Amino acid sequence: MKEYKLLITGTMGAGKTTAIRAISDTAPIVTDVANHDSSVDKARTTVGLDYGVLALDNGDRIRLFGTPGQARFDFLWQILAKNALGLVILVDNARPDPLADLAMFLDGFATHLETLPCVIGVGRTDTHPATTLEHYADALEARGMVFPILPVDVRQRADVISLIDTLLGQIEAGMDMDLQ
Amino acid sequence: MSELRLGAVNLDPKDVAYVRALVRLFAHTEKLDWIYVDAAPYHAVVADARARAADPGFYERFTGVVLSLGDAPGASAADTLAYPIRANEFRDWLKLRQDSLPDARVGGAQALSPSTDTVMVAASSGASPVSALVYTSQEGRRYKLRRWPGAELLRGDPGAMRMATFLSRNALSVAQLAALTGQMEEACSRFVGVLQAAGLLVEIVAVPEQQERAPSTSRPIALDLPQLPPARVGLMASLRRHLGL
Repeated sequence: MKEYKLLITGTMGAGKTTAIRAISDTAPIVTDVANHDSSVDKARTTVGLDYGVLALDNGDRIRLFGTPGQARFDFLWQILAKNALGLVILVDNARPDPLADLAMFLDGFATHLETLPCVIGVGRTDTHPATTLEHYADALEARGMVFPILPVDVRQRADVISLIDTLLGQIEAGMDMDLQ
Repeated sequence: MSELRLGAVNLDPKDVAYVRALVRLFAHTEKLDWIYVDAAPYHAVVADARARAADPGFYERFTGVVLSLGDAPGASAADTLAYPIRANEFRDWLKLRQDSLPDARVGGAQALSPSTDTVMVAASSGASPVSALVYTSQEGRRYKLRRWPGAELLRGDPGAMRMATFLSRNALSVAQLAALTGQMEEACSRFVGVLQAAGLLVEIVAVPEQQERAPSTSRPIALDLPQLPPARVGLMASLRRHLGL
């Protein structure tokens, strides 16, 4: 039996815990506490990490880790990203500056993203359309990065599955396959 | 030099997106003066032939140039293109009309009556931008995405998403893309053509060393393809089964 891990990161309220709950075989273990950040309309938030698991038919296990969303926990990001299969970045389009949020995670995982497969899920694009997916593509292009960008509603399991499916495509396309 | 304004009348949104992307591309690569605009006045418009046939008075109300997609009664051969649009034919038409419109530039663009837009009958072909372009891949050329495509190009199509994903990670030839994604080579060729027309690809020409060791007859693709470790392939397959994919 082998064990692998997938990371799901994003700002507070972006839906990391919800996304893990949508696909985990077991009820996710959460480390939420009461949220005292009045700028975010959310009763509880993750300060450690969330954990779920996918038990595969060949005996392998995929561990799903939801990272804490605040930048002050970025030391955990580095630990979790080591040897990860891939990374999902969830961005909440309803936040004041979602592109800055994305930039924070791109910076935080910068060294890993040189090789780590990654996909970006953008939530609440329907209710907050001011920042479009094209803006996200612009932001990535300015950094010389190309990652899939998908609108997502993490409350919908199909959307989360679609994100993971796209991430699997990224993993399959692996950076280690140097063709140039 | 002044710009020439090109619009679209009653085209399906996916075709509008395609025309817009081509105009933008050729403005850079061919230094053409055309720009795509969403509203009148226009120097020329692209219109679906069936919509034109349903409203013959269209010719009379609009005195600019009408590029007809498909055969339309009364349309000149020079201003008719087969549907779906082929990028090279569209480019040639833009060049032709750019050279023949100096008078129109002086006189300004023609306003197209708003009623025209509402009278014309919707005519959707069902063809997608991906299927609208025939692209001939060239030996030894590989392509890599420089930017993730917009939704109007991917259209939620899992096959297109998969192709784009692979092109975002590696520079691939059309044959390699087909072999890796499991898509038909023709579909890959069209998709690459669309991405290239939209200016989203970086083209990489294979170095001589790679060309020399490229097999020529049997197993022409497999020997030059990247391979995932078998364990990783099994993992991906297991994970996909587990998620019901």
